[in-house]
Amino acid sequence: VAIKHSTGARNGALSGTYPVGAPATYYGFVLWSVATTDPDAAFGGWLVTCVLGSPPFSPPVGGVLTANPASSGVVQSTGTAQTGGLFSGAENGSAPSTTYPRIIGTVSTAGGGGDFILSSTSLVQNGQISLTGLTYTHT
Amino acid sequence: MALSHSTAQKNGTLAGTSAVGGTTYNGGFVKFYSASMANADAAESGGLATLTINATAFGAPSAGSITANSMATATIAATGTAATARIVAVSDTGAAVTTTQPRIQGTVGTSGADFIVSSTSFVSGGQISITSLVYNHPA
Repeated sequence: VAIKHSTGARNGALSGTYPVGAPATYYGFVLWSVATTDPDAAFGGWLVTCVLGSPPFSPPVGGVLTANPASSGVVQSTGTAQTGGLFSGAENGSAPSTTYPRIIGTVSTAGGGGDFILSSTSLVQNGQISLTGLTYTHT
Repeated sequence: MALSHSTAQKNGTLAGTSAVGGTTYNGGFVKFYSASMANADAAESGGLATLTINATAFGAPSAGSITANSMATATIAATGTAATARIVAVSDTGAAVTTTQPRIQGTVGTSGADFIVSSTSFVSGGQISITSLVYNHPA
C-alpha cells in the first residue's frame, strides 16, 4: 500500500508552497471511518483529529521526516477507522479540493499492511488516541 | 524505473529549501553519462554530454507535474553509451560525493528508462537536444 498525495500536496511540494516538513503545511492527523483512496475527494466519517506538534516535524535527516509529539485526540464518534491522513489547518476535508495539501493512507493494526498502524481500528466515542512514531520518507 | 534523488534534494523537498520546481535547477544542467553511478550522492563518472537548463527551469506545477522550459541544443563531448542522466544545479561540479547538492538521477534508454533517448550511442561532436522533460510527483 502506498500513501496518496492530493493534487494540492503534489503541486505544493513541487513549487515549495507546501513542503511536507514546513511548519504551516500540515496541522493535524485525522482518522476517518470511510475508506477513501482519492485524496482530492470529500471525506466522510470523521472520527478523531490529533493536532500535530509545533512544528509538526523535526528537520529532515537523510530524506526522512519524524513528527514531533502531537496532542492526544478525543474520538468524536464510535466507528472503525479505515483511512488516516495529514490535513492542513485551513480545511476539514469535508469538501473536494485540488488545492489543499492532504496525504492519506490506509489504516490497519500491526501486520495488516496499512500505511498507518493503530493498536486497534475500533474507536469508541470520547476515547483518546495518541500519535507515536509518525515518519515520512522521501524515496 | 525510479529516479534517485540526492540526500540534499530529498531534504530540500521536505523542508521546502530546494523544491524541484522552484529555483533549484534554474540555469543548471542535464548531464548524460556512460557510467551507472550508485546513487545521486555519488561522484559523477563517464560524462558524455551536458545541456544547460533554462534560466527558469520549470513551468508552474499542474496536476502534480512540472515541465521543463526549453533548452538549447548541445554538442556531445565524448563518445560512449549513455546509461545514466542527472539533473543538477548550476553550482554542482559533480566531481565529489555530496549530501549537500540537489541532484536527480535516472537511467537512460530508448524505452523503459527514466530518460528516453532516440539512441544511447553518443558520438563526440554530435548534437543533442531535449524535446520534453517532465517531472512527476508521486500520486
